[in-house]
Amino acid sequence: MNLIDIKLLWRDWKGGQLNLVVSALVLAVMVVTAVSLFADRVERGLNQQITSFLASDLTVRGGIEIGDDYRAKAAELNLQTADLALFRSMVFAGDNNHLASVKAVSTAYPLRGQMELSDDLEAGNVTKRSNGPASGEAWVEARLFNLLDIKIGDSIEVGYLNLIVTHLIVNEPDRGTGFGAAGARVMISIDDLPASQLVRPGSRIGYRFLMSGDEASIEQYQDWFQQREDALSNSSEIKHFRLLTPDNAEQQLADAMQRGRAFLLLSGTIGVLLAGIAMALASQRYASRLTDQVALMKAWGQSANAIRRSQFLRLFIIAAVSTLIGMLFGWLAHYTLLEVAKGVFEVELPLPGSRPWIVATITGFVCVLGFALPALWHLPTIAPLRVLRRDLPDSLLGQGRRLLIGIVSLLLLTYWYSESIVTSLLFLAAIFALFAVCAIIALQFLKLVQSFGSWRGSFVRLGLANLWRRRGQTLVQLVGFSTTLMLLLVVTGLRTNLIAEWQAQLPADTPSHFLYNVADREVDAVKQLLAESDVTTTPWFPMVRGRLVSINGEAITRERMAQSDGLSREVNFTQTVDLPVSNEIVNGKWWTEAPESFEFSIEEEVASEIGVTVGDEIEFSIGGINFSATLASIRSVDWQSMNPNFYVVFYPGALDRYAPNWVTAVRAANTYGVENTKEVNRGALAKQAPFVNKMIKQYPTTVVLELGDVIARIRDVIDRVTQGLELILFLVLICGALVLFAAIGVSYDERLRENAILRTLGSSKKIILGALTIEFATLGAIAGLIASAGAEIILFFVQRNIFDMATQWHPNLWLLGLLSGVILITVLGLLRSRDIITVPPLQSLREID
Amino acid sequence: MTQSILRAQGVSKRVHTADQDLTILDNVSLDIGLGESVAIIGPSGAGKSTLLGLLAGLDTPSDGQIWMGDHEITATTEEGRAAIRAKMVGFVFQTFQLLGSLTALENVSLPMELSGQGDARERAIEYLNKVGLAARLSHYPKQLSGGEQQRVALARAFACSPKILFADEPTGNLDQATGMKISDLLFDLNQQTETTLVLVTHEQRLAERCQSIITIDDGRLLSRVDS
Repeated sequence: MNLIDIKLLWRDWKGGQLNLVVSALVLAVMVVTAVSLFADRVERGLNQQITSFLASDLTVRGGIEIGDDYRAKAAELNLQTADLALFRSMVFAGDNNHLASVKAVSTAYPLRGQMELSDDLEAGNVTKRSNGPASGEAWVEARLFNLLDIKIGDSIEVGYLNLIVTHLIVNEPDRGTGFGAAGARVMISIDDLPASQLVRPGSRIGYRFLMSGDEASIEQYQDWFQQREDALSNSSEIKHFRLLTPDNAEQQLADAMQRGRAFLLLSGTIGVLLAGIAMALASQRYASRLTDQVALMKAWGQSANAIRRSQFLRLFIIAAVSTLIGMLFGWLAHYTLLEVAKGVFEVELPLPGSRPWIVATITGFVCVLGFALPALWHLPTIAPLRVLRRDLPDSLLGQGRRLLIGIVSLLLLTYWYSESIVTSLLFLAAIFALFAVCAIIALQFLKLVQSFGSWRGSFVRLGLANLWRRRGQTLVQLVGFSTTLMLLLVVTGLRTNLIAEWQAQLPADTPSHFLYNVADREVDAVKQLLAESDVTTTPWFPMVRGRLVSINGEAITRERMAQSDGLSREVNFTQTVDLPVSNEIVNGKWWTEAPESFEFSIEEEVASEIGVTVGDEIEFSIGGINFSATLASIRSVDWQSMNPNFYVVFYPGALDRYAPNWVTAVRAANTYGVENTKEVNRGALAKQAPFVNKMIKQYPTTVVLELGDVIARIRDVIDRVTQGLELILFLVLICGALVLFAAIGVSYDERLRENAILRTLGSSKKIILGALTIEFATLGAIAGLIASAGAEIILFFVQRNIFDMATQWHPNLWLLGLLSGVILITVLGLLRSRDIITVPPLQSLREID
Repeated sequence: MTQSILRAQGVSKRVHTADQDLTILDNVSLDIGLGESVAIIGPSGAGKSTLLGLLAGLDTPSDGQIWMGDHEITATTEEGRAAIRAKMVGFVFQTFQLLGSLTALENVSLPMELSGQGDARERAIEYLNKVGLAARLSHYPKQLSGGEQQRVALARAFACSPKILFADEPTGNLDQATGMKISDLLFDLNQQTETTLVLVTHEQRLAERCQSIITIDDGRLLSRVDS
């Protein structure tokens, strides 16, 4: 290693010539490191849980009790078995209550992994157990102690059961990923389930049949299950059960994580792209500074090869040091991401593996090779004669080639991030299309500004003329800044506006609560209670869960299921004489009189997804019993109406024998729901409408869902996701600022010379400062306008297509876009140009020479 | 005449412009002896700097041959010429060509370090002493006056002990008094080190201090006057 190269590099760094190249590279690596460390740790955390995810080797899962044949086969193969049932129910302790996530398990549970329990509220002295609670016992999660104000040894009520809390659950093997806002865990013995009277026909309960055993027996069971599945596919019988294996659970999670990681990294790619542009521009300036040095060295007899070696060594050092610093900052930044996501993941995330570091290192080096090296490539070929004739042209690598190398590098990186060439190409095409559109619009603005500038005062004209004269650089700055600002505005808009708008658009008579799981025989009593509680309800609907099995005698294939959410899972059916409010018939006729055979109506989107028309004969399966009905009408449904809505509505009679439970929406007179969203406190019923308290005490199987709670949860999830994205985009915005800096750097010497001449000719500092301010403020205003317009368009589609709500303007977003564009660019621009204003003209002229 | 160190035979340089071929040097032949000082003078655009570049091996002629010592530099590649330059040649430029990010001491020692000379630092200090800048070793070029910068450039050129020093308008960027001082220094060092000096200048007084004056105009060698 040549010490002179290091010394020269150090001098270049100290002289400030490498600041931008290094900052851009550090930022690019930082963004990628932060994102991939975060993704990796989350992925590892989830994977670690999978190993005991099922608490078994195999699990049969279903919405109805596990069939006897499934049990018999397990017994035949001598497999160990355990049962569990999962459902939500209110638990009480004195006047306190909580909508808990109850898990009733047999004593053999868990078959794999262990329960971690503690007798101490601080979760100390953890003991491990391979069995579930005994009859009469309840094991509960720590937060329930606070929610119910209880301690070990106190009793709690679950349904009609009185149970003694004997242990605190520190961990359970199949707790799942911790996602979602499930209630606190209460684990009871499955033997106590009947006495609780919580299991009624139609109750929403998830059943699991756990098995473990030797590998051969497990495989045999899997084969048997598969054969049975195939047989069911060929018959009219419906599949109610799914087999969970560690493999398929891992595969699903791996797929989901892969998509999540790719999404985050692709957001980071915009940062890498902007950092790349900044690096390329800064390297161009660095190269022009190195030209004289290289010519001199060649005149002294240094060979082109020696100079190439020196160039590679310097770039290697730049890449290595910047990557290391970037990784360090990325490591710190990923903690911020983890902090934002806290609460979404309840698990302690393990340390990351090597991949994020490899991704970061490759990013650093590919950035240097793809963006910095092309700008410096010509240096070794500089003619030594340049020491005498500085006007000799440089054999710079053509802009087209440099662009191509940059794009290929970016493609390589995006491919490495997303592991999909199609995603990479589509992503890059979208980004470049966005850049192109921004550039075209920006050019029109510049033309407009140029004509405007011709009749303004002196410094205004000077500033605006500069924008047009350096329109190449201006466009690069505009595109870089407006796209990042646009993305930030979209995310900010999502976070601050859309949820509030959606909430504001809810009609005045929006229900405050939803009641479901009301048992058939309790409906009248609940209606009576509600009437006494001074609340109004929407119509009551009976509800059962079932599946679509065949259409016109043709079984629904797996492929067809995949096309429709409504086909791939059990959905809610109802029956009613009257067309529900906010429903409209788009095809066929609503019943005016009782049909001769079973008939039903279907929602229009599902109808088109599964391709059914009025008159089709469709077979349904409810709880293993099949029946057919004719499609009488197709309805449009306003899902935003906040009324109970259904995909499939039968004419009354069809569902009578399936023991439905009932659902309705309630509007409490003193509206505790919507308006209270900010103060919502899950489980703290003291703040809720009085009828809620009475109802769940008297009818514990009924589930009361508060709308405010739902909105608060949606807001919470959106807040966390957007905060994470905002953090990444903030880093991307800094990359945008570097592009601005680098682009000013390209014309820096020229600006220095021009302004020195202007000042020599008598222009005051004020005029030059004014011209620069006008130049940057106009640039900022154009970038802000483009960003706001783009964000408004994106939000328009989000409002219309994702939130399905009435679209509206966001004037505050325009104001924010415009102001932040003007302020950011003016401040940053003037900061970068301060020497142009402050350095005395003679010194400026000498420095350039 | 002393032993020849630099010899040009029928050297021409033509460049292609958009509409015609331009002859910058036309059939120039000359011979410079070891330790000799030669000034090349002529009006602007006469081809002085082009000739200097060709003689120093920084460029190649369209026709003709050039020998530097025993090496025919016109018959070798750029890499070969670079190796010859590394062994034999030093430069002083009108614009000084100091590296702004290096101190005076580092500027002087850099070419020696690049050629792997072990005592680069000591020699750099010695030559900066000789040019009267012992107190300015750690100053950066922009902290030095034009005259001081050119003195650093002289120290840099002579510290490498080149056999031939090519100087392109060494006083061209300096006022008359400073220019005089620099030319005194240049010739002092030249005598001390017995370096061959090839000097391009506009200034008659500077040229007259050389042993020979070669006048060129319009690309042609008009005269050579030996003092």
